[in-house]
Amino acid sequence: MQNERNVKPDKTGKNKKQAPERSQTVIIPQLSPEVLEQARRAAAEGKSQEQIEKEAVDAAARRAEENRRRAAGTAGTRPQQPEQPARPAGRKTRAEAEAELYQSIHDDHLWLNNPVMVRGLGLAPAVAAATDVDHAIILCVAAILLLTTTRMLAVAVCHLTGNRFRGVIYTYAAAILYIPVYVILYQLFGADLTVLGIYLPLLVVEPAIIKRMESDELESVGEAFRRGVNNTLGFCVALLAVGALRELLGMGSIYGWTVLPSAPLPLAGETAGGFIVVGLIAAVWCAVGNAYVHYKREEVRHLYAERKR
Amino acid sequence: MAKFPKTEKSRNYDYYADILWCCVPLMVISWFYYGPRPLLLMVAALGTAYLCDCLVAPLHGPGYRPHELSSEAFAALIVLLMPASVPYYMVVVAVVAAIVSKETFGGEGHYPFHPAAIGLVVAGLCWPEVIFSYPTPGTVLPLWGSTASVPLTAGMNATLVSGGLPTASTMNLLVGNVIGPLGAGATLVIAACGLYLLSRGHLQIATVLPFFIVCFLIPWLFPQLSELSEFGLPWEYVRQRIYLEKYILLSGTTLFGGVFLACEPVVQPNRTASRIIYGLALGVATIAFRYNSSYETSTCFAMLIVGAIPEWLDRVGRRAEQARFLRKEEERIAKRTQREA
Repeated sequence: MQNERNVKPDKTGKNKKQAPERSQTVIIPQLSPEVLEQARRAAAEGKSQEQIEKEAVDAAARRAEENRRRAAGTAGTRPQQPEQPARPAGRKTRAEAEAELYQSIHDDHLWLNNPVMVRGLGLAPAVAAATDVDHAIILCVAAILLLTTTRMLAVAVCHLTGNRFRGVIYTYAAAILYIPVYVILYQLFGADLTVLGIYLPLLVVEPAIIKRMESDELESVGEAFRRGVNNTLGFCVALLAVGALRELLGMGSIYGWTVLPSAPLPLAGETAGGFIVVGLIAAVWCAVGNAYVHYKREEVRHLYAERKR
Repeated sequence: MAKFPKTEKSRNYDYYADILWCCVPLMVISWFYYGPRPLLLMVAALGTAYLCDCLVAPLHGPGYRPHELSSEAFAALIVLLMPASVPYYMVVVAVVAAIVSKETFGGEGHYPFHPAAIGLVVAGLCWPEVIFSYPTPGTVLPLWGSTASVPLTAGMNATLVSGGLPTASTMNLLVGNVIGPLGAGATLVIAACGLYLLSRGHLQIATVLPFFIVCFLIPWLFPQLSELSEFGLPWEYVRQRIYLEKYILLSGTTLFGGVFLACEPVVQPNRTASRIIYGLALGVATIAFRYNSSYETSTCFAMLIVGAIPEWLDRVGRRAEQARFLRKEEERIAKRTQREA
């Protein structure tokens, strides 16, 4: 029909008998996985190619007959929507699984969303002050005392102010809490605090502590506590890793224990070396983390590839 | 007959190959002065560069390219800028730092700072007393053992910084029989290498000439000699100024840096005007480092400082050219409109 409609009369008005048009489109048969599996089994049973083809043609004819019969049976009646199979309890859709995966990545402040190595927060103490494990431990204690408490206090005040003046509230909360924290640190470490120099008071304006003020979303105090603890753990892990590696490279020891006979890279103990070491650790950290995230995404994709929903 | 697959060479393959060829006579000279140890240092550096490139290059995507010699060239330059008495592991650390810094910025053709300068500066900051102390030429160094027993002295720049003049003769300066880096002393050989690179089109006059002019002019106008008054007129004490210029240009790494480091095709700007400014800035930074530090390899520190501006210079030049073109177009259109009116 289509071919007849497309035949245009020539200029003389006579329709000459033309050769039947042939479609230029090559139709590639779509082989379903069931057919392929069937053929594979038949070949394994030792059947010849003709037999396999005949069986495949018979199977296709049977399927077409069944479809025709089903269509005839439902003709004239109101087409009914096929019943949705009830989703078994506990079975998630792909979108839900992916959302859960992304949420778990976002919440993993220890590794996949580390505040220092992945998000680039708290670089100043890591680069300048965490030159060895001792200094890293002091910074960790300061962060433990300051980070979560600041976040909780600031969130509590933000609830009172209607989430306004966040910048002032966060920095003031950190500055106020720094005073008792410094007293505690001085009791714990004494004059060793002076080796950290300006980088200890600078924790008050450290993005790892006050970055939260940029968010419009006002979290609850309990949520602030949970996230603050997570961030603190990630911050401490990064500081300890940087401090240990820098001490190893810069002095050949870890926490005072001599590991190497000589320092392989004395520059690591300096601030310039701190940039290099932190950069290298962050690169390796992110590479491994991204590889893991990619693996998990692919796992979800493969897991839900067979399911339509 | 089976055909070998055609391999694509990198764009700057010839430059790095010529740099490596130029290292050969310098290594022969250093072999003559210090024995076979410099050769083994070079082998260690080249092997480290090759291995490090194989390991690090795949991390940023394209993988190791066998027809890309930049890493080996940087390793060779690092060895030539080090003392002959340097321990092997320091050379390895310097080369690793250079290759990692190169690959960090995206590999060949993308690094903003000269990797050889980075390698040497990292090693120099780690072990300054080893990297910037040199054995006396003629001391045959042990091939394997420790060189701790070898007497080391500071280079000639230490004397210049304190306002004095070294005592090395001109002939010794020309043939490299002076205390300094193992490949940066033989001025005649370096000059010959410079001529070779110039004839091969690798040495850019627009960069090198301003560099040497500044390196000559600043000590002439502001000599750092204790026997001269600080603000003496340029035509006074000419003999002392000439002596000073001799040591400024022929000692340290001024000549070596101008020939082997300044014209690195990736680091230097692409436009002629930008290259002139780059050469001037490099000369100023080199002399500033020579005046204020006793380190012999001041050109490497200067390369890192000045390495921040080539891209900016090119961008400014491009914008200026676009602005000129637009202005000319406007004038042309205005004239045509007037004519038509």
